[in-house]
Amino acid sequence: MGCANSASPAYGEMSWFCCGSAWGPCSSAGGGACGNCTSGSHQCAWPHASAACYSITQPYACGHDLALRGCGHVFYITNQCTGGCVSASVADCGPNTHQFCGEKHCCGSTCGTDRMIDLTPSAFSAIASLSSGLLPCRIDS
Amino acid sequence: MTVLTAAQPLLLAGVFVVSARVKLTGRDARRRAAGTALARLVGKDRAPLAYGVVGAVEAAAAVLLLAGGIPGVPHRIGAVASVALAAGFLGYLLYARLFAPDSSCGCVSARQSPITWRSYARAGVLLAAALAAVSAGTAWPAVLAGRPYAAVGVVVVEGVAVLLLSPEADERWLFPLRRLKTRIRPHPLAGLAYDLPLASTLRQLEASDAYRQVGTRLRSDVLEYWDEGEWRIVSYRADADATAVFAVPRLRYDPGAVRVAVVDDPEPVPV
Amino acid sequence: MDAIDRRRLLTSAVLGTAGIAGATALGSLAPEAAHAAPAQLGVDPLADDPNFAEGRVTGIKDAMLLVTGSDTVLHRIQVTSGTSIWKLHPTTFEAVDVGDGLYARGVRLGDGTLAADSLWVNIVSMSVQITAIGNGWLHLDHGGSRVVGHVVPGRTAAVYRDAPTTGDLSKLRVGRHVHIIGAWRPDTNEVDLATVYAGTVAG
Repeated sequence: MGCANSASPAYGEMSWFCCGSAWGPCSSAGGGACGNCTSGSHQCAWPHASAACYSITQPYACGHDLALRGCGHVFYITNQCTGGCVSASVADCGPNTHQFCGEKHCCGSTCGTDRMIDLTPSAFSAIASLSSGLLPCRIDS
Repeated sequence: MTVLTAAQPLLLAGVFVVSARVKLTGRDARRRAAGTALARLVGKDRAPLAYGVVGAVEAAAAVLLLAGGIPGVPHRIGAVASVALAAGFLGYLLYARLFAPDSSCGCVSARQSPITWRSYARAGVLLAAALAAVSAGTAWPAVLAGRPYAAVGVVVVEGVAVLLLSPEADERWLFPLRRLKTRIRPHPLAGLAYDLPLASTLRQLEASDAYRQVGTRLRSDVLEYWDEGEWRIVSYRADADATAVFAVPRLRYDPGAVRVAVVDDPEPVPV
Repeated sequence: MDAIDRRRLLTSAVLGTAGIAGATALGSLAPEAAHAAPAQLGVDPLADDPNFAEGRVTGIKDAMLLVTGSDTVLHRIQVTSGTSIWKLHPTTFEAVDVGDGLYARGVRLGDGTLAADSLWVNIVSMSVQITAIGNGWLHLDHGGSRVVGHVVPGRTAAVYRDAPTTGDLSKLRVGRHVHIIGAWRPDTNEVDLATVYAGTVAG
């Protein structure tokens, strides 16, 4: 349990999304699939937050077999470009992995392939700049 | 006029078959029913079941419409069922508009699509077709046998109209058409006069060893940047009252060449 | 020290060219070795992060931004010369207007003020589908609602697969799913595009 120390981490790309009450185009985002998502808390969207969620995000279409991690499960997400790490609890379903199969971003020799997790702005900004939209990450339980 | 009204059961049956097929055979589509306005109407848990029931009713209506000419089956029974269904759809859309404006329509395809004026226009067309079918004096097989070209023509024209009014079908015809346009004519975004975007510099910076060395010490996003010959210089606020300054190759991609210095800097002052 | 001198100083510090004397005066430091273990931030994932704020700017007083959070909590955000301000690109405090939306990260002071390290003004991050491309704009479908993305020459960049980021947007195609970072034009459905991540470019 913790940052970058579990036996079977997932690697991929991370991004950020807004949820809960918000301004701008995401003002209709709502509390996410779990109902308690807010931009100010360290939370995340996971493609396999439920069976129904899995059938929408379809990470298996890109060859990923992601574990079922429901609402409230805490992940430790490491920014592979800096080594910074943050914890975030599952609060929504996403990203739509299958729409971006094959997408890849690298930092040096470390790469992340396919959209794997979306963080709330507060969680993402703790380990990266919001203006870098996609970054390679490591995800531990 | 006879052809116009008597051919309507064919159009309606076609639309109902397509719509019912998605609702009954698409497992994903039924799961996705939770995201449609239907969920608001009957509750999230019951939405997939209700979605399937609507599909079954549509399939039954299609059968009645097509059976309309067979001896022993009143030829208007399918049309009357269609009026009820089409009116129900229109009512559903109005309800969704009022009480679940952000939800998907869940109408005739597995594709998520929002409720727009096109959804109303399509429901309106179906209702008009159903009313016309009720007013028809003859059953469709008789008209099809008597004036086949006119009957097929009516169904094709109306079918195309329904297709044009279906946001769910955009990916099948509208997007390829728009893609074709950008192939034939110059891409609208080609040849823009552009400098090297800062985003390009920052992506190269993030990929560098230099950035990884000091990454967790950075406190701010980019403070300032400027060009210096073949370099683009980018500065960040770092911890311990310092400024981190990077030099990134400006005109080539070579993250290995990125340089960094962390410079002592006094406490920032209010702007 | 004015802005030009400061830039000259920082340039020479990193490039090690002429003007070393200035850099030495500031005391150039070698970067520390990379952290052996990832640095973890100790924030309870379910609690609001005290060092983060979001909302709409409702007032600007000297170097203080008054921001009303979307949850109606009022934030006072202090901006200094060491605060980075993003509004489509790195900019200055003068570019922030009343009505702008923002995200801020910094350090919460004893009196409740957030001393900002970074401000991201009107920034949005969205996964969208390109539905039409025109002269200087993209029409985008964002979960069912239409968003107009404006291309800003010299600023808007595109990332295709793992290739270096470029200003060339001519490989974008209608129907593609892309991720965008952009600057929202307050109270409209329009954004100025910063980066378009077009992961896949086939077709």
